This record gives sequence, C-alpha cells and structure tokens, in this order.
Amino acid sequence: MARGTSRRRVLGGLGVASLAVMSGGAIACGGDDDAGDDDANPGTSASPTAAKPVRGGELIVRRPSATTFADPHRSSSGYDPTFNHLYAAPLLASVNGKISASLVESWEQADLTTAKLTLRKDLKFTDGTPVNAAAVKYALERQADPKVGSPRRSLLAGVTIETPDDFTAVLKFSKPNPAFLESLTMNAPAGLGALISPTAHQKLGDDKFNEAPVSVGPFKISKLALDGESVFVPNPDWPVTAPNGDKLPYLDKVIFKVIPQTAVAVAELQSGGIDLDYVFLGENVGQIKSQPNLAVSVNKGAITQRIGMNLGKAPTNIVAFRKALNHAFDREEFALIFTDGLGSGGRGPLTNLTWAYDSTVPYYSYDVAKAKSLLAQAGVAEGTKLNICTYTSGVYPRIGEMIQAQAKKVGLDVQVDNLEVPVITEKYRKNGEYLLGLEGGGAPQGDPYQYLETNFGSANQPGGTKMPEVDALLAKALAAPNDEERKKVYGEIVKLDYDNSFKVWLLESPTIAGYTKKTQGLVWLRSGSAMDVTGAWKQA
Amino acid sequence: MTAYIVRRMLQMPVVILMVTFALFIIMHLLPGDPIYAMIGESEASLDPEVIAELRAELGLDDPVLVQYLDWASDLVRGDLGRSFRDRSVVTGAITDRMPVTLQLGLLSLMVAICVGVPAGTIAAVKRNSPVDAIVTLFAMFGVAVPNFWFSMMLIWVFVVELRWLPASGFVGVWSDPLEAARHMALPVTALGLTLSGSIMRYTRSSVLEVLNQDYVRTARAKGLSQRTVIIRHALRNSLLPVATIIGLQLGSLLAGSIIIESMFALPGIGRLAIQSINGRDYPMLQGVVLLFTVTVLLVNLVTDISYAILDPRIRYS
Repeated sequence: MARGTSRRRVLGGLGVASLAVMSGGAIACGGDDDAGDDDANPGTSASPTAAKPVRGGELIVRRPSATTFADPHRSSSGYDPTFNHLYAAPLLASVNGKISASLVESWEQADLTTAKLTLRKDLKFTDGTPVNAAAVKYALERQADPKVGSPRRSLLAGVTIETPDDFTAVLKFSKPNPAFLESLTMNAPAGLGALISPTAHQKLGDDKFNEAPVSVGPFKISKLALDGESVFVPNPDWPVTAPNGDKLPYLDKVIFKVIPQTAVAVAELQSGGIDLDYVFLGENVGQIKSQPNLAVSVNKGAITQRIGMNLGKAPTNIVAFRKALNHAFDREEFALIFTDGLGSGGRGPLTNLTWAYDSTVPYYSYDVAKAKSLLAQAGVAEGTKLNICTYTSGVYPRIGEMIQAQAKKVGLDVQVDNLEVPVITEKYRKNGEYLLGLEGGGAPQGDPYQYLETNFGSANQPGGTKMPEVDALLAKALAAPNDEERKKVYGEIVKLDYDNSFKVWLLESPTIAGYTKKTQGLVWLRSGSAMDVTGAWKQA
Repeated sequence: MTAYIVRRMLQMPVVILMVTFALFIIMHLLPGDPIYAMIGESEASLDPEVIAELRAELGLDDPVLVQYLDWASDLVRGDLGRSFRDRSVVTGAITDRMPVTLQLGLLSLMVAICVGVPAGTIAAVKRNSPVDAIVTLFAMFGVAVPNFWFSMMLIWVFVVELRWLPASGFVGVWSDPLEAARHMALPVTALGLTLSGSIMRYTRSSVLEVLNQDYVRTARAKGLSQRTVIIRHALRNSLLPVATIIGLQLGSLLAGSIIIESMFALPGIGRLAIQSINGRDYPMLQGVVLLFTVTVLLVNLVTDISYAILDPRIRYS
C-alpha cells in the first residue's frame, strides 16, 4: 500500500525509544573504544548496543542558546527538540523516516482530508488529568490560533475536530493535507505534536503556563531555567517500556545546560562537564575523536545550505545568469572545508532522507569556463557587483567569504553582509533588497511538501516574486491520490528548479553529535538535528 | 556636601531620560523589525493582518516619540513593560539575573583591586627593578589582552588540561558555596585580572608621585620604617586618583560582563543585553540600559563622595 493513504496501525506499548531500539536505532558508543564515530540517520546507528542498560545516573546535554518558550505550542527561538520532547512527547514518533506510535495507539488517514487518531488509554498529564481526545482537540485548536504563533498552523487551516469517544479524535480538513501526520511527530515550531493539560493551561494562563508547562512525556520538569540549567526527572506514570520490558527512562536525571560558545562546549565535553553536544562544527570532529572517552555520531544530509535569489530583480531574474552561478561554485570544496569531509556538495532540494528523493535527477557541475560563457550569454559584464546576506552565527559568515572568493574566479564581485535574523527577514525576504541570500535549514524527511512550498512557493519568495508554475505543481501534489503520484509531482518541482536554477544547492551538511562513550541508547530524532534521550543510559 | 549630593541626585533623572531616549532612537533606527524577531524567518509570509494586530498590541504602530513617552510614563509608575521576545515582565527578568552579574562584578572588582593596588605599590617602591618590569609587563598584558582570548586560555589550562574547574554555568552562593566558588573562579579571574592592569598602572604612577613628596621624605627622616611610610603616608594619599580609576572601571566592568557572561554561560544581565539586541527586544534592552545607567551614575557619585573621605582637603559646595 502506498504511503499517506494507507491504513497504518501500530500496537500500543511500542513507543519512541522502544521502536528505535527494536530497529537497531540506538547509538551505542560505550565498549566500542576504537570506533570513535557512527554514521547514522534519524533513528539509526552503525553500531547497535549489546550491553545491558544500567538504571540511574544523570546526563548533561548542552544547548547552544536559550529557549524563548517552554510552552511546547509556541514558536521558540533557540529551539531544541530534545528539550521539550522530554516533558511533552509528540503524538506520533518517527523511526527510520516512518511514522510510528507514541501517545497515539493507532492512526489512520483514509484520504488526505480526514485523519483519525486513537490515543493510548494509560496516559495522564503530570498534573494527574487524563490524556484524552478532548486534550487533542484543545491542543490542535490552540495551535491553529495565530496568536499562539505556531509556524505550522497553516496545516490546521479549515480543520474541524470531532471527538466521538474519550480516546478518538477525528480531524477533517477543508483541503488535502499530506504533511499533517508528519507534523505530529514534532513539537512547535517544526510540528504540531505536543499535547498540554487543558486544565493546567486554563488555570495558569499563557504566561504562567510557560513558566511551568504541564504535559506528558518520559520526564517531568524538576527545575526550569530557559537560559541556564534545566533539570528533568523521570515521569513515574510514563507507561512506555523498552523492548525488553524495562520501564523507561533509565536515567535519574537529565540536565540541559545553555553554553553559547561552541569552543567552551567542546572544552566541557573534553573535561566531562557535559555528556552530549550535537551542534558543533566539522572542524571540531577531530578534536572530539582524539579523546579516548568521547565518540562522534554523524547524521548525514540533515541540513541543506543553499543560495536563494531574488527572482524579480536583474540580473538574478535571468535564467542564464542563475545557471552561471550554479556552475561557479566548487561544492566539493565547500563540503571539505565546512564539514570536514563529512558532508557533501548539494545536488538539489531533496536528499535521501525523504522517500521522495530521486537519485537520477541531474545536478550542476563545477565548471568555471561554462559559468563565464553563461554570464556572457546573460549579458552580465565581468566585475558586476552582487550582494548576498547571511547569518551572523555558526559557519555561515565563513561560507559567505568562500562564496565571495569563488565568485571572483568567474568575474563576479560579491559583497557579503552578515545580518541578524530579523534583518534578513526584513531586508532579504520581505523587501527584496538583496539579490542573493545564503539560506540553511533541516533537510526534508518524510513528505517534503512543506519544504518545497517554503523554498519554491510564491508565499516565501524574496521580494514577493510570484511562482505560478510551482504553485500549480504544489496544488497538483495536494490533489495526488497517493505517495507514488505525489512523488512524481515533487520530481517535477525538482526538475523545474534544475531547469530554472531557482537556487544554488551548495551543501548537504551533517548534524554531528559528540558524546561521552559511557552514554548509550541515544537515537537521532525525526528533526535530524538532535537526539532523543528517552532510552539513554550511562555505563557504570 | 549634602547639598552637593542632593543636586547630583536631582540631575540623575535628566541623564537617565537622555540616555534612554538616545537608545530608544538608535534601536528604532537599526534595521530589523521586532515583529520578525518574534515570529522568526519562516514567518515572513505571515498574514499581514496578524502582523498588524501584533504591531498594534505591542504599540509599535505609534510614532517613536509616543512609544518613548509611553515607556517613560510607565517607568514613573515602576513598570518597565513586557519583553517582546517571550512576554516576560522586564523587571522580573532583570531581578532574576541580577545576582549573577552582581556576584561576577563585585568579585571581579575585588580581584582587580586586590591584585592591582598592591602590585602597583610594589612596582613603585621597587622602581626600575626586575619586579617593576614584571609588574609593568603584567599590567600591559591586562590592558592589551581581550577578555575572550584570556578566557579561552584559562579554559584551556584549567578545564581541558588540568580539569580542575568547570567552564560554564552558575551556582548560587547560598545554595552551594563551594560549587559557586568553583563556577565563578574562571570568569572572575578573567574579568578581574584584565581590569587589574589599569588599576596597577595608575597605582604605580600615583605612589611614585607621592613618594617624591616632601612629607614622605620627612617621614623617612623621622626614622619611620619603610612599611609605615608606604602604608600610612604614601599609599593613602596616592589612592585618590586610583579611586577615580576604580570608579571609571565600572563601565569596563559592565562591558566585560557582557563578554564574560557569554563565554562562561552565566545567565546574567550582560547576556540578557545581547539577547535583547539580537531579538530587537526594545523593552528588555531599555530596562537593561536603565539599570546600567543608574548603576554608573550612582557609582560615580559614590566615587566623588569618596574623594572627600580620602582627602579631607576636598570640600564640595
């Protein structure tokens, strides 16, 4: 049966961690002294553990920035999915790119306009109130409210929610909604999967609830400091068990510690001050690997970095010019320098993390002569000035410098401006003041509809350029009867991008986790940017 | 003296209004709409009606002057408003973070004084000796070396190599004094030692000047010991310019705290300032700058008053 339209059912008792472990998904590092690193994709690992889990101990996880909101429904800068997944497990899980059970015992999407969710019957929020269909309705309706600021609320446009019994919620959409089930595997801002206690929320109100959110997950909050150290202890009522029947979680405590500077975090990892950090640069990998007590796990292709363009302004409105840009950059050199060889050059919008990926799709090669010839064809003179904006943080300013250097080889003079996010949004996206913008974000997994819409749809183009051809294909994808048909439509969008060079797909970067070898049972989350610690344990 | 203090106190609100108004204008001139900072990059396509609603709710659709007057009138009532970023109460957020910055600032200042004054005095007494050369070199190091580089060196030695101390985090002094000391050791050293350089240089030159005074020669001629001459006669009289420098160091201390708090992951006011600037969180940044301004003004006042205490010849009219 095709994905998305088939009836799928997974029996209760198999939760996020248990499914991941069953599928060999846990990342095992202890006892593998010479391994040093794993190449893994979400929910997978190169070296499954054979050791018996040990109960107790604490795990200290680094976070690079403060979270704005603890409320799992509200859009949050500094978002880290492992943070609120601990106390607010999403309705569904995703293992090896496939949707699986979590709070929901079974789910059904008979067609793209109707979804039926049947909850587990043994769940309760940490305030003791029941997790029921009314709570599902409450959570989804709250996230549909623009004032809450959930970036995925568009997926709930025109939804009506019925609760025929205490544990069943039936959702009806006014138009086909292929990305809805995927969205339930993550919390805001990436998804819509979090439930909250309606009783607690109504009693506390938004502000107080944000200071002490009440939800359901393997852990509960012991101390919450969004810009400091937050401490989580096991939720004794969490019913999900490991495949061997062990009660989860194993750990006594999980501490999330905000450490803004990567160099300081690496020092803390080396000295044992933290156990896990998954946001460091490729250049730190060697440093981590050289430590006998540390290991590295690489989640390949989790992030794409690309050059977006204002398609409404000259010369980026000329196809030949855009093609010239696509031939102007040596993507492999970018991959070597910025991912320490762990990533690869970008080939297109989709990576092998999504079922819609097609490896036969053509891509641009590095060819300076061809780039120069196309520039001449476009009537763009040597020394033409362009501007590009990028972020102030992480590896982006340095990528910008390399773009500048490589563009010079084909005779283009690129000025790089490193800007803060609100400035990029205003100047690049809204006002179209920049011809180019270095963009980056998580690669699509599961159904890529949302990702393709964000990258190519009219609603998100810099300067408001209209993309009627893409919009028509996106509408066609929504109307497709099954995944196979939808994959074909997505292929057409990818081909359209190739033919028109809407963007320069520069890099497929990995997410890299560094952790102490004593730490076992870590699983890459669906978002691909962080790891689930529900089934984690520490070797004695 | 009382009249002088009252006059200075009365000037303070004027200075505060000028500083906060200037900041308010600068913040509004900066590119980057706070609404986009709130909703994130992916929301550029948000319904214009929702954006307009948010703008009205936050008062951002009013003219800048009206926005400032609203803020100032709320300030008079003791209300600094709510953060644009996370809707938290500004006074609450500042109060929560105050102990961290206070602890860092006071301890660093103590280290700076405890190192700078004795070292500067010794350098002056042992003028042109190897000790003087070493102290002067150390002072130059303190003045020239950036905080973040010195912090990284400390982390490399004490965290990575020796593994004696943690590189990040904050523990309240009342909850666990020993852990609090361990967590504060590196940030306080980094900030305190870099500040001590200036104090050391000023102390040295001030003591040198005093040591050449007639009354010091007289004290020596009376047969007083070197120790008594230095401590009772030279040092006290040379402290006046040093007190000025220590007062002026407060600005460096606050600026340094912004860097040090980011380096060592201390959730203090300095880090809040950075987050507020990046998030275009006008109310929070106004609150932080107000606090910094009041602190600098008060410390300058205390410094001026301390002149009179240190030097009875000084009288304010």
